[in-house]
Amino acid sequence: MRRPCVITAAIFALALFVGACSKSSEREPGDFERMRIQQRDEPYAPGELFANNERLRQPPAGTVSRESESDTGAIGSGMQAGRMTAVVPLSITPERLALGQRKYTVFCAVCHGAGGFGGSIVAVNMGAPRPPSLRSAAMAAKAPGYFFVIATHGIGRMPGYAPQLTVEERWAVVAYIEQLQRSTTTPPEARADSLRALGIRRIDSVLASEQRR
Amino acid sequence: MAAPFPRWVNTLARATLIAAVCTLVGVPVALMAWVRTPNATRRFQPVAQPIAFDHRIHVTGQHIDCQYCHFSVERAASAGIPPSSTCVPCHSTVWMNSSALSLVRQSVATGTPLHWNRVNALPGFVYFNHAIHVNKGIKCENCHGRVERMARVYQAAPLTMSWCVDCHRTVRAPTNCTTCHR
Repeated sequence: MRRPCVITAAIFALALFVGACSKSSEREPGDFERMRIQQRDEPYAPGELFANNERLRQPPAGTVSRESESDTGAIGSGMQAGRMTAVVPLSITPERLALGQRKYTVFCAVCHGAGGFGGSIVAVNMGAPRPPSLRSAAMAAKAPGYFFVIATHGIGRMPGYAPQLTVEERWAVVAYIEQLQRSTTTPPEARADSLRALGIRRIDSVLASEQRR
Repeated sequence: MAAPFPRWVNTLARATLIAAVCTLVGVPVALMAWVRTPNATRRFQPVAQPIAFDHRIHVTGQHIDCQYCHFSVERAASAGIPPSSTCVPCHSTVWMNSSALSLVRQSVATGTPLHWNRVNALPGFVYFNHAIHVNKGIKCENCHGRVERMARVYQAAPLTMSWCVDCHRTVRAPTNCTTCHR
């Protein structure tokens, strides 16, 4: 009586064992592989869907960004009635200045220095023409719109930062540059106690003393 | 009538039972331990890249912030691999003719992206978002380690589920299944 039970159990166990040993490629879709490999596109992964094997799409040729180029107002273009905007067209709040400082430290301080004196390790290594100080009298006389236009489109060897910074972030950076120019010393916030800031500040102070001479 | 089995079979039976229990418990425990070792998680193994880009030179040497190149980290799920044109403003004068940069020049000239090899890989059922982590104050190095000291970048964190959940519990971030899994 008991023997058929044992044989059935043995066959069942064997089937389970053989099933578990099958290769993952032979498994039916619907088990774990469906979760592990999903039918979605990873950013930057290659894919066969488009001709150039890219999954991130480029905008079609001639695409005009609604955010900046087509916006001819002061906020989008930095220009007003054919001239550089004389005031930052967004309200300047402490939060916006903090945002500007953060973005300035990432994208501008690399060349212009944490204090804006135009000194950094990159600036020293890049050779002439060196990035200008943002705190010279000539620069302080420029309208905020001037800095916005350059941050957007670049000038000389400086690239435009429109892909990296949104319109609001660029204006925040301009507002922070205005604050830098008004301050007589490097603001304490710019003297972050990291080694990075220390290095930049040292070169900044060297350049500042050069300018004083 | 003689006993059907000699006495030592008793010992054998007990030893077999103990061995069976040890195997049933030990094998899963050993496997669970194995998947957490650096060998299984591919932790600390430098990944070869088509270009010998050295983060030490750029971050430690030139004081370039992580976000200067990985600039979508604050607003997108992916931190972003910089477009090849990011290299151009500096490298149009510095190391301009170096053969190390020939792939970059080719990429910029033809408009085809560079094929970097992935260092930190997650399975398809994990939906990780960089923006929320960075905006809540998690630093790059909390997960990626000291990339500025790596000649070739390697995965610094185990990237196991327990590693994620431990941190989520510590900082009281959501620990629903759907927080990460879809």
